[in-house]
Amino acid sequence: MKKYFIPSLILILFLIFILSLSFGAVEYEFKEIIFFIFHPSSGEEIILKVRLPRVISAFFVGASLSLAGLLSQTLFLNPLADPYLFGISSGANFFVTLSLFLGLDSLFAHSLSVFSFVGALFSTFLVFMISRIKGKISPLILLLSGIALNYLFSSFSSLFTVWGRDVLNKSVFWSMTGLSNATWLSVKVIIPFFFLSLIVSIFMYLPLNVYILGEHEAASLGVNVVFTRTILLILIALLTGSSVYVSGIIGFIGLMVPNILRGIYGTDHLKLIPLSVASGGALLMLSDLISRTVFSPTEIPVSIITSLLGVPFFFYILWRERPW
Amino acid sequence: MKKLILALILISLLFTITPKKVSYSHEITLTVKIGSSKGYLNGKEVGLYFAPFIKNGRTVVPLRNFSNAVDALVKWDANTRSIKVENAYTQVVFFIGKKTAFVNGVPVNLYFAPFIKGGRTAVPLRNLSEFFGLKVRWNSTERKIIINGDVYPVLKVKDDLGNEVTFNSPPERIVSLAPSNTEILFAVGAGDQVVGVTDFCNYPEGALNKEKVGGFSNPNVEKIISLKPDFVFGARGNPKDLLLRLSDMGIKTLAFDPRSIEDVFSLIELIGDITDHPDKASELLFRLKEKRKKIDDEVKRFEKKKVYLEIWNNPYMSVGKDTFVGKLIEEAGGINIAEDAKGDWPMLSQEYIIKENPQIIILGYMGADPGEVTKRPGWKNIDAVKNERIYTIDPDIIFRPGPRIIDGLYELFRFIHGESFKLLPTASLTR
Repeated sequence: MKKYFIPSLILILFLIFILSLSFGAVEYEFKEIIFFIFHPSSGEEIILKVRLPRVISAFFVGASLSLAGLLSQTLFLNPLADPYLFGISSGANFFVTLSLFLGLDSLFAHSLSVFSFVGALFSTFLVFMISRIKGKISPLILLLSGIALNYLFSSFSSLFTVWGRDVLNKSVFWSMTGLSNATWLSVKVIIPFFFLSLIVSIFMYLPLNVYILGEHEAASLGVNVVFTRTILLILIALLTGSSVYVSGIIGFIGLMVPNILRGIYGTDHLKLIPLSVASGGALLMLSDLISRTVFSPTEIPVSIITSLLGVPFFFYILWRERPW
Repeated sequence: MKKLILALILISLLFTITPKKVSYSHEITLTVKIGSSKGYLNGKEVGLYFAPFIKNGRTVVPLRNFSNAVDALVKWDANTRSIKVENAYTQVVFFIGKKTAFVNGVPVNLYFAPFIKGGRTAVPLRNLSEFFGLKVRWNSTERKIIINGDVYPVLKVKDDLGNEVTFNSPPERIVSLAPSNTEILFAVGAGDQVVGVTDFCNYPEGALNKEKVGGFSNPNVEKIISLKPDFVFGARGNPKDLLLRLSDMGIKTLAFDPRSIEDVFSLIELIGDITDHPDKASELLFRLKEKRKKIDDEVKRFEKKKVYLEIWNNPYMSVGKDTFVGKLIEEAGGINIAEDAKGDWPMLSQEYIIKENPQIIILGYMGADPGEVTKRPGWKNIDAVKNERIYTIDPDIIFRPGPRIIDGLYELFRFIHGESFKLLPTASLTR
């Protein structure tokens, strides 16, 4: 399985990319699509300005969420960690709602992406602080406090949407939008966040491999635990915040992908990081393809698809880990 | 001659009759049916001189049957071809073939000129009942007209939840649980009887001063009860168990779910009857039906156009064909590009919108901006964008199944067949 995994992953990734480009509310021949892509001056709009940026955004959002999932599993030393389940996405979403409520969305270009990042950072930090008791992270408290914070932030978002009626529509549908409004601008926004996080995490693969052995072990092996932890917090927030800004809340990608990969490749971050990125991107491209074609031309929120896939997986991991 | 006619028209416009309250010493209830020469006066069968019929949207009755009912004397003057009708309260002089009549000496414009039918004078019923201070109740399902004085008929009403309520007297403390209901109540002249409305009831202005009972999907039951309503007027979208609870407490509660313009019309008629404003309700309906017919006739002259009605832009959401708005688009001469989409409020794929290439884009949500639409990547080749046919519409007039729905229809028509604006007066007919 191991031997064939990487070539087949590359093949699958390529295949999903092609399928995503070929199918949609409007049907095209594959030759036409190729022609459009290589002749951007042809004036074609649907493929070049709608579908292509959407598929690429789906890849980067999926890759970001998957990497954020991997890094949070490392940070919390728990395979159940996921930016969605632990309230990090809803924290980011809450800060977006709050800044919409306060009218800060037009402060500067993409100011919401910054608030989204701050929200993600704040909630990751909060989960971490709550679940860390006497220098150890209790898996059960981690899981419960993550879920509780998820509800808390969602409630706060609802509260503000009721309070400020103008915000209501803007943010209620924000989380539903998924990738349907993705443009080249979304790609431009997410790329710097994504590549920065990817490069930093690859450079840190050694300390990360040691960090998962446990705090004391890592410290005795010469790893600066506080520094590593801080970097991890920031990376998770960057990845989650930018994804929420581009596509609202999409769950379970970060839970599913790294756990499957760990089952095959063990815990080496040098392998896990690039593989998570590629598989996460592929999974979200596929989910988005399903969400926009199954009832075409009506779209359904992509989070429905990822939840349908993710929840059974969550129970499987829960059963495997038994954190109680 | 022309000047004279003009002067006559101007004079007659000056005097609009305000129906005065007349108290007859005995009960008068005349019931007639369109197309039937059998009528009932105070429960007793009477033969009519001709079967009532509809002319220009108005009911025509034999003058003689009416005058008998109100104990009026009728005098025919062959020289002037005029008829004097007189009882203890009112004296009216009609002229055959002339639109002007004299009510207690004051010239008044009739809906149409009296004429002779089968040797008998035919007069618009609406004018007669106004002049003699009688209320007219029109039952459109049975095509029956009930003309009576101060008598409030016992009304048995069944709502869309299957709840049955009997009204023995007009309700005086009404709580409206939907913006459309509030608009209907005010439009039929029952605004003074309203004591509570929802937070969303923002039209007409009078509704703003009423007590608020909370939201549409979450009205506050305690607040409703504290207002001591004798009629709670609900709608689809209100919590069902709340309505049932109010009903169980003995509060007359009705909830309706109008799904077409016809449904809205019959609701207006019913509310007119319940609140004891049948005249104002049928006046309103007459105007609405007239305006609708004008629009429908206009629509036939134009080729249908492809319309994308956007109700939200993030994600892009539109309206399905089974929704009220979807039907309005069709009636206004548009082809709804979302008609094949699943769901009432489908989230539409951008690709699909671009491919469908709508000729008209209408934005129906708060904060909508046509400029933003033109800047959307990939949208610049859409006909509506190229030809600058992007409009914003007040969502309240197309989403609320109330009296402004025909305004909504008209707005849609104006946007869809833009060049024909001038054919109809822009002023709203419902105000």
